Amino acid sequence: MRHATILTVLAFLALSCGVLGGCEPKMAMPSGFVEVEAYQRGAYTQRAVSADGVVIALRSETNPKDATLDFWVTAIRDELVNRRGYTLAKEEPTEAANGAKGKLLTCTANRSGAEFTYLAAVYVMGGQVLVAEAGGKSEIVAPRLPDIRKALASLRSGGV
Amino acid sequence: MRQLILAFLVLIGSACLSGGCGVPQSPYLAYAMAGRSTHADSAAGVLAQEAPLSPRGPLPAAALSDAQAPTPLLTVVDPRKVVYTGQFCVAVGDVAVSIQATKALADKLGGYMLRMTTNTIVIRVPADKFDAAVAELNRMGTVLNKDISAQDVTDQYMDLEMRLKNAKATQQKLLALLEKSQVVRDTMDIEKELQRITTEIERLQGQLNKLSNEVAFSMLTVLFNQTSSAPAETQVKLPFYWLGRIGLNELLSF
Repeated sequence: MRHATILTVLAFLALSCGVLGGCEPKMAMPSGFVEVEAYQRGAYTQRAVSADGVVIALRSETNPKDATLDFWVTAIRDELVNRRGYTLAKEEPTEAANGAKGKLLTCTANRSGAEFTYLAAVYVMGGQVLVAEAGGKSEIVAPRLPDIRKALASLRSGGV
Repeated sequence: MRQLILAFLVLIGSACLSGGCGVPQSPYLAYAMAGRSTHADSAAGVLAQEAPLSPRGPLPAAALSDAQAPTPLLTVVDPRKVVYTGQFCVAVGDVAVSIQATKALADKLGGYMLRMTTNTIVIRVPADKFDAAVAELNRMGTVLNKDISAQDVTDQYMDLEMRLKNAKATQQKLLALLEKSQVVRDTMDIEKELQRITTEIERLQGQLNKLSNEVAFSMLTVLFNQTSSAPAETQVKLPFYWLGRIGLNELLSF
């Protein structure tokens, strides 16, 4: 009887997470960043902006069977470097807060004569591929880089 | 004597004016036909020497006398003279860096830079390094357009060589005639013709040098486009629509 009650409560909690979306993957944003309203998130599951125009966002997409981290890192690198003309400054291993292994790509790109920095941390968690992105003018991003990198590695998948 | 000299000059002049210098034997045959038997003996020898260079192919061995051993002349086979050129349009991340990389590539391969603008560079590389240069350019970025051509200029090259050789032979004949000439007017006529044939030799030599250079060094013209402004439509696009949306554009747009 007691076991049945516990199971019922757990089932209810699990259902709540699924329905309310409270267990979606999430990053801990650095101080100075404000999370935007749902209607301003666009395709992102989470999106925050600093007053001086640096944006951090999380993209969560369905991961097809057999698509590994290497697959997505190669695809994203190719998209950024070969299609968009970004310059890959660094590619390094990273680890999410839940222990999931990932790759962090740091790129630069010229836009209207100004240099921008773009970071993408790629993780594969369960049935999802998660891309934690951050970007802004290089001169603004540079002093915030440690905080931004910390945020991109703070990712926790739903329910973990 | 004077009539013979005049006939010779007239025939040389008309042969060259009509572009007949491309036919190697014509001055000699003309000379022999004019009744000058002293050079008739050497006419066959001249023909034998020039036969392998003829654009219409070597003379059959039967056409030559036994005394003039044809073997070493007929076995000489000129390699084909081919001018290679290539035009590329390459999408790259950094145009300025790619321009400098292409210039460095030309230097590395023993070539040189011919022309350069902010997004275009023309280089020349040794013909035997053409493939290596093309392979390097393919690696520089996404090749949006490529046009490689090979022009066989063997006939043109050989024709120039023959015309030059004939002109030089004519020059030697004129010099010989000049030494024998005793009449002032004849001397003046010969000198005038010598001047003309010397100019012709210089012109032909210049053309031959230019053609040789074009054969020896292949020209590559490369137009670089900034990748972001030139979508690589030739590249396979992966069937994950969101890949096309990652990056700064969507991230920074609200």
